[in-house]
Amino acid sequence: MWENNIALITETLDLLMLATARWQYLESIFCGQPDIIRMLGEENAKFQVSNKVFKAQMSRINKEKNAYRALVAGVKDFIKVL
Amino acid sequence: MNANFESIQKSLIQFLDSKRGKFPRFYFLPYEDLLEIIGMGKDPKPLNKHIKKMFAGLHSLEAEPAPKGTQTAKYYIKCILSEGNPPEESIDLDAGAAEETKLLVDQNCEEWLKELIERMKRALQRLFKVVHTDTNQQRRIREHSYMRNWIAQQKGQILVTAAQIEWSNMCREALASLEKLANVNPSSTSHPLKALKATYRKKCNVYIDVVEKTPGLTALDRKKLTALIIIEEHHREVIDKMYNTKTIRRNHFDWLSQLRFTLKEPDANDQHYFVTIEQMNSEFDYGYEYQGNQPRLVITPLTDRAYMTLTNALSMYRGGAPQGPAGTGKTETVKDLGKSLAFFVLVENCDGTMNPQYLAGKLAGLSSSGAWGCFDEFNRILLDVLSVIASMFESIFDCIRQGQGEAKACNLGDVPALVSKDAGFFITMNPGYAGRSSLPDNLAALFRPVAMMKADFRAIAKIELMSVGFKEAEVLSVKIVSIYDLMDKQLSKAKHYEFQMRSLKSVLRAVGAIKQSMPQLNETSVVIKGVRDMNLSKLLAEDVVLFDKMFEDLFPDCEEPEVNMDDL
Repeated sequence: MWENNIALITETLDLLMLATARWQYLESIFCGQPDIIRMLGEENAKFQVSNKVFKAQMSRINKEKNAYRALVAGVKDFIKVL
Repeated sequence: MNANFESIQKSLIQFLDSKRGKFPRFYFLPYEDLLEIIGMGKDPKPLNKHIKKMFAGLHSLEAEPAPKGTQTAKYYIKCILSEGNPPEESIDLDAGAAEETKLLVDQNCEEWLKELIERMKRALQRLFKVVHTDTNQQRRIREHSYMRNWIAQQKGQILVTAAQIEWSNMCREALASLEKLANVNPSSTSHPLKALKATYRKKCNVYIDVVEKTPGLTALDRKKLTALIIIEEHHREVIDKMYNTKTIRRNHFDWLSQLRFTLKEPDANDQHYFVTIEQMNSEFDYGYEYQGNQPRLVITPLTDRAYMTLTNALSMYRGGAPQGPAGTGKTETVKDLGKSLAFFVLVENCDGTMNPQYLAGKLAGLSSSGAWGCFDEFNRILLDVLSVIASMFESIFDCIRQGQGEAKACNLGDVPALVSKDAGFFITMNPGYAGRSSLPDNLAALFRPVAMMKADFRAIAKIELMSVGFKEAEVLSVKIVSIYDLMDKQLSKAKHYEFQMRSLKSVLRAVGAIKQSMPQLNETSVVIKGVRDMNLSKLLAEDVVLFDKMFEDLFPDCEEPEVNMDDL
């Protein structure tokens, strides 16, 4: 059981890191360059939605000092959100 | 969320690629830089950081507030500037043009950048008018001050090309009158080539005089003169050679093998002048890409031959492949030919990590913008990648041939390209190095090989010395080269010793600087000081004795000049 959980934590963590890297790259574009935002309206809307989710989850994880609760138990099927 | 981010990233890339499709020089920038440019809005300043990667001699743009009443833009582009701080040269993009035709910096950067290229070309075509109106070259040779003014007033690129046009015209005339005369006594003073020979000897001496004797010559004028001396000394040598081989016809090989420039008739309202270049059977339009005042390469018989092969390859819709050991000038030759014909040459260092997508982007950028690409150490690219690239090159060359001077579309992998007739491709290789693959046959067939085994040290040293104002360049260059030869052969084989092109060039540079800062020294002393300064410090103790002996042999009765080094 706990083996499963650790595997799940690792997997979730990998995905979370990947998402963070991508978010970092996109955030610098969609939150700093008004011209690009205007030219890519559709993508921007899409990004703002995901951005909100990402930020909410990150501040939740930040408060939660337990990896198991932060990544697995805290939100049902958190791995699917990623 | 990841999937979402990924799809956004994908459409972002797609968006950037579509910009690249509209302005192909964007292919020379990585995505990050491109984003910065596209995001800059109506302010052209951020562009200056990246513009060097897209243009040859252009380092920044000078913008001014847009005329009143302009809704779409805050600025317009006034000039293009060369390197240096403050910039050495500026080219006025809209000399005397009406207010409403100013080049406005608006939202569509790919559109106004495209227009910028057009305006740059037209500005240069306007500048060539002076070649047509000012034919007073005799006066330039007679009067130093007149020559100096001429040099100070004209842009470096125009000066060099004008010299090439003038020389081509004079040679053509001389050979034409020789054809008519048929039987002319080669020693008679009326021999046209002999007269031309005298003119060019005088001309080169005037240049050197101006460099040597003008106090307070600006760095820019010095650069222009250096480039002019390098080109004109070559012109003089060709005339000498034609005279010696008794050339009397315009279709003689010694003449045909040269780059021959022609100033064509201007357009209808006498505004823009056009230049074409011929060599052997190939003919090219001048590229009108602003080159700035970059140093020029000394032309030796080897570079001459390389030019010939390269232009020939281009005219047969092929690429050129200079091969040879390091330091023989493979890349420099390609770059310098590009400077002569005024194209943008992009040098790309190849390595084993390059994949077909990356290269397809580069090739699409080069072929669509009509620039030249020089791929250094091309055979470092992995073999399976090379064979993919071969088919891309094949379709590019096919497009140039079928386009008949017009741009033609093709696909390189999944990258679309609009192949311009001006595109040129060169690959340099260093055969026999470890870890290099040999080219697959289908690729080798597309590139004309040129062997470049050994650079002509003596000729290069001589002309470099002349270009910084040495009168005794002929003798001194022999001495410098022999001492380098002796050092290479007789000194111990310490690992850090290198007496090849690289160190020779640095000595020549040092000698030039000494000559400039201590004009009171005689030329031999300058050379002695330069060679000793640059070499003594790296020699082993036992070699210093040998080194001193060599100096005694080569420069008998000469002491190293005593120079006050208290400042140190």
